[in-house]
Amino acid sequence: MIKQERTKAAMAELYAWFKELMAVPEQFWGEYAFWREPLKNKIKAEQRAEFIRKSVSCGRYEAAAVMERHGDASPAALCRVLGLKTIYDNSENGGCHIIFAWFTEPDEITISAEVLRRMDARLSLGGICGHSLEEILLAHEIFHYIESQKSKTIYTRTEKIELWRKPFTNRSAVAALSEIAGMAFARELLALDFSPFALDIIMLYLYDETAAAELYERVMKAWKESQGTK
Amino acid sequence: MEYIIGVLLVLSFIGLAVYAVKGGNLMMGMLVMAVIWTVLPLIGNALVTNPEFIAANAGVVKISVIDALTNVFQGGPEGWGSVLVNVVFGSLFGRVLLETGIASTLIRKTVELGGDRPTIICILISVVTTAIFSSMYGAGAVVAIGVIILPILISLGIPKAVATVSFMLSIGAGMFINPVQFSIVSAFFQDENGKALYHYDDTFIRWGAIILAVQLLITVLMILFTMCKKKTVHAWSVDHPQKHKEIFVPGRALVSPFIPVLLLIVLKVPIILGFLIGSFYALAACGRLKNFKTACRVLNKTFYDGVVDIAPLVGFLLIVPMFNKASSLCVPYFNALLGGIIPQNTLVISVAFAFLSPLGLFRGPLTMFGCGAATLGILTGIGFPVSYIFPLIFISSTVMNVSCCVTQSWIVWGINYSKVTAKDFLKLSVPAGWIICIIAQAVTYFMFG
Repeated sequence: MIKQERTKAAMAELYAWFKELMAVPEQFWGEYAFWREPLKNKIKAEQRAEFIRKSVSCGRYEAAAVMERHGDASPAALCRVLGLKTIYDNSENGGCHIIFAWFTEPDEITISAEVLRRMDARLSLGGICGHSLEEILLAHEIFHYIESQKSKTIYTRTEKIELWRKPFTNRSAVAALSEIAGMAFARELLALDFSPFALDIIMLYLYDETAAAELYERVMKAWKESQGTK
Repeated sequence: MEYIIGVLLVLSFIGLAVYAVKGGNLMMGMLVMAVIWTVLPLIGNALVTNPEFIAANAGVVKISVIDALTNVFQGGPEGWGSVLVNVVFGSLFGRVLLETGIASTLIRKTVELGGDRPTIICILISVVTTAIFSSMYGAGAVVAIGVIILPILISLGIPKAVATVSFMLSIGAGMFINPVQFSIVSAFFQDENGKALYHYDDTFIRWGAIILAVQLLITVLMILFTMCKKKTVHAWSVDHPQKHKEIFVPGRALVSPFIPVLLLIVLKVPIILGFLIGSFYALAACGRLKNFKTACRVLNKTFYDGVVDIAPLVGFLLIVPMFNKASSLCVPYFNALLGGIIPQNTLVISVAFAFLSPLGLFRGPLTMFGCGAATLGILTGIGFPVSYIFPLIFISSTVMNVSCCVTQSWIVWGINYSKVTAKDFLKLSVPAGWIICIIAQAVTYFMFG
């Protein structure tokens, strides 16, 4: 009985968090993506803001192009049309770095079956946004497939920064741009009214409630502070 | 009689190995073994009648009970005082590097050098980790560096097992010239008066640098081999929020991790002074020594945190010498039983140590952090020189135990932190470690055999 009540309270808490996180704008989530970007110290604030804007536009543009070509096809149907293999990974997740889904070049998308199971047990995402977690994860990974197909021309791969001092040179792409564009792509494709970045915290909650609470507080605090500085 | 005691000693040795493999508390295991290996030879000494055996081992067989007990339970831990002091100062130095942000900045700068090439970053980080751990020591330091490195490597698409194994092998590579690691193993090589029989000198440094390079090279090859088969991966993932804040560290402070070892190797500055110079240089370069009052507070805090970091190791380090001293009481009985079986040729011993090096896993008989003290006792009893035995057993202890084994404290932490199964970790670490041991034993044979 007590356990049931606790589960109910946890679900209510998770739902309340999600509602608040849905209000966080895309530009801020871009800043969030840079928190864990290893090259973040090489990029100034103005340049970062521009990178975020361009990455979001890139994701939206690619989503519009896909919709134009394939209509309202679901992510699963798109995978079939594009010749992408979908694999469900049953291995145990967790630790310092939790992986929910990944795209392996050239044509393989892997989804953590464990995170889908855990989400089903805790929160009905379909009831909130009309799409399942699996669809959102697939949509994000489809962007990485498109990105790999257009690696010579797409913004997220062609935008590079210089890492070394002259006369030496080492130009590198910025991994965060791909993730920002991937989230914007999924949002546009599925007509979501929130950034899928919000699901980071929800999915982390499924593995470690304390860590999720810390991340949630950090995001909300940073967002409120960023509003105050505007 | 000597054979019966010898058999009982071997059986107790097997018992310790089984206990260690099952994950038993090693500190308690060592204490129980110290008692058994003191009592059994004393019983043997009282009952043995073979005049040849008594004449050949008069120094041990005629020892009084009180002298034996004093030697094992008082002299053992007391003799390790110098080791402990080195470990404490090494830990202070490690804490300074962590709290000033020097270690994390060094890693961040390394990642920034490599950019979007995961394999290159993994290799560069391995090199920097090896350099850092040529001075730093202890589980606290490994954890503090690991929480920065492992999420970066994994988020770049490097498989968790490869990231964890490469990190642990890199730490182990640094240990080949690490003065603290040297002190711990060298404490097993003391004469009856507690005087060191093996020294951190040019010969050791030359050998240590070669084996360090071998281990680092095999680590790099392991990274290249595993990553060349791997295709580019983009993952939707999340890291646990990091508690540490990024601290600005001036460029001149980044040389601090290398100061103690460089001073020791180049100018022969004693290691404790090297640790102190390195610590104060790091604090001064990072602006943490603004006035005398601040300096006192910083020194107190880093000392306190450093000692807390190594507290569990201290307990282990004070019990191990009891076992070590007790094993010297057992040498005549081991010799009586195994002396005729164990080859007396250095080539055969080197080949055996190379191919049986996995016996250094799970606190087995080829690691000084497990049952190796007994093996050492047997080899010393046969008459192999210390200049040959020290590097021989230092290899399997440092490679198989410290770098590859899931019973090593910081590896236990690493595999739990990155959620790699012990099986997946060992599948990568043991072949790499075995190759390193074979090459390293060949080098040792040609240098000292």
